[in-house]
Amino acid sequence: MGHSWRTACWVGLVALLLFVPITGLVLSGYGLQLHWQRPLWLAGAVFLGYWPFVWLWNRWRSGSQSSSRTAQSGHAARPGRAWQRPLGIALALLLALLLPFLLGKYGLGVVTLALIYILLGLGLNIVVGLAGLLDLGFVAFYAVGAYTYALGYHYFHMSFWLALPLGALLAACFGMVLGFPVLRLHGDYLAIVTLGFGEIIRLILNNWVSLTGGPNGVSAPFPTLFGLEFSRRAKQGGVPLHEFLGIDYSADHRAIFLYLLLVLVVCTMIYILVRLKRMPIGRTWEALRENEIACRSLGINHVTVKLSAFGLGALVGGLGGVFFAALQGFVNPTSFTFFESAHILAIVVLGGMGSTTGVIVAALFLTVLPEMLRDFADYRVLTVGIAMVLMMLWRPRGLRQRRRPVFQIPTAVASGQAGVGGRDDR
Amino acid sequence: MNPLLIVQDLSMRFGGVMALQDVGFSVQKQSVTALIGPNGAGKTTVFNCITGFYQATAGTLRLFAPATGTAGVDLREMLGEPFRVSDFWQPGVLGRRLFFKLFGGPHRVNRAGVARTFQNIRLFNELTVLENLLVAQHARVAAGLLAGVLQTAHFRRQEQAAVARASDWLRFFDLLGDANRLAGELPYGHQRRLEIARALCTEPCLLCLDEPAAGLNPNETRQLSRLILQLRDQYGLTVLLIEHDMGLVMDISDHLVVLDHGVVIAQGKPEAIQQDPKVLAAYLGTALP
Repeated sequence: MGHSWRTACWVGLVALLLFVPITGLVLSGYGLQLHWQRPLWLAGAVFLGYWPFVWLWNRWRSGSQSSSRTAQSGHAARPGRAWQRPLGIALALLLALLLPFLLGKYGLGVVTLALIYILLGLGLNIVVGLAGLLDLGFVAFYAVGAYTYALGYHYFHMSFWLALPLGALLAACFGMVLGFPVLRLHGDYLAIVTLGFGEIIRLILNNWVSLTGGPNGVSAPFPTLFGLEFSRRAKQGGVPLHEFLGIDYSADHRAIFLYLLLVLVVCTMIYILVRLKRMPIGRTWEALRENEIACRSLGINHVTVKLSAFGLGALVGGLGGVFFAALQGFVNPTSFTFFESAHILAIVVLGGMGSTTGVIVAALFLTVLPEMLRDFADYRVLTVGIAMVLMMLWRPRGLRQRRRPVFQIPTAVASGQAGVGGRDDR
Repeated sequence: MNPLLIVQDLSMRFGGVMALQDVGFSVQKQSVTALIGPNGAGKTTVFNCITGFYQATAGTLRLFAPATGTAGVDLREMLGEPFRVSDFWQPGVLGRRLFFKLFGGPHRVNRAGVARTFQNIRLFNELTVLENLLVAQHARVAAGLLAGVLQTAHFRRQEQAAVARASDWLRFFDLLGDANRLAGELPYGHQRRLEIARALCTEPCLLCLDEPAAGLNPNETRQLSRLILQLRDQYGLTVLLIEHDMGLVMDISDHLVVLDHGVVIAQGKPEAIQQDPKVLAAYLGTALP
């Protein structure tokens, strides 16, 4: 308490010294006018604001230090907190299902876009966060997914439901195609090659006008539900959903439908990725990130491991792309610039490498916040940059550090009854 | 005589430097063989050739693992050898070469039964101790992607068995208390033991230890030599090790191979090596004439 009082005095004094020339002296005409109250008020506000802040900060820090010490010793699961996780998941799901009825059409569109970014973040998280392969061209797989749907519809009248798995698989193939030549690259070199790959895909889409329509883009239709359309009047004798259900037509239905579908897909993906991390393949990805040479000495084929990481990451990115095309109803190459890759990478880095919860929070934060602060759109990139710098200073490992799974030692081993002895297989 | 590994005429050339020249020795089953020599003699190069991290320039490496029958397997072939003109009228040989070119590598050598540790410890620091051991057992958890995602009973049984196996080895190396700690935060001595435990989790028949006692205190070194002997006697393992600690080497090895400047200058029982004038000269230098 005494310490924070003294620090607050110093801060107030420094503020006074700074504010006197800034606000106390005002230029009017050719002379200076002295406003001596202004710096005093401001310094007083700084002093009064700083004191409780420091006091709370110190209290919080001493509290979190003692808890982080237990986490450091590796026993990541804290007893008495077991109920928090399922409760949190249930609350998040409930909120996700209620959201379409709370938000307007615009708000729902923003949240839907945020869900797509969650998908992209989850995909890149496999490649960068788990396998440790820095990928700056992730947007390429997003583009592959989006164009699969748009071009598939344009040329073959492919439905959304067919494009969804096909776009994902095609993106996975592209992921492996990219993965093969970069097997031996690490760090910066890998980043440069992937950056080039992302640009190649974008330039092909831009310049192969006869196939992709070039900068004019291609349109993609809205998905249907079991053949029922979401438009007021169905095309070519189909049945619109509102007539089928006997309800009034509303333009909101299609937005809600796409949103709920995305919630379903995102939840499934989160479940699969959480499982993957606890499966041999997920552990192998992380082992490869930690030490590739040790991996090889343990009989792990680094080729298949890297390709699986690239492939699965791209698959999730491709899913996001198909949804993006369906949401926008139109795709063109300007949606798939390097800035988009950087945005996805920022989500992964801010969220904390390898942490699923962190990626979800960061994706929501980085998508919803810029929309809410539309008036400050010019400063959007600046804000992301400042957030990154602050993160590096305070939480260099992301918003949420990954917790390691804790394993129970079999009681027979712990009490020393069974041994490795009796293994006669060598 | 019952050899597990036969090394013949092994040569390794780095550009103009001949790191190894016609190195030949054999490792008997259930024995402890030590590779010693002054710094820069080529001991680690021999290790890297055996474990598949270097493709030897010439020579043969044949492993007679129990699973491979009496003919043994060629460890060099698994790394993917360059094509030869004669291959093109022998489609069988060509096919094998192509297969190993595409899918070969050090991991195949490990699967054939050779596990190793490293001079500078290479653990997965951000993973827990138990996860380190589970990664090493990845090949034994024979459950597919779908089984893992759906958590089938088969998958859970496999995982439990893997954890049990890992725990057994942790108990053997007295690391059970650290099972859920991060590998990177363990004390140095524990990290050394963990690396050996991880290598053992791949179920090898030949364990190659690269300076296992480096950085250990005398007490830990004694403990280590006891563990190595236990591995040989109780588990029937064959151990090949590089070591500078002569006390440890003379205590536990059955056979010694002395290298100097890439050439084997002596091999035999520890007592004989201690008396060998060539070895003394290599270590202590010769008197000026």
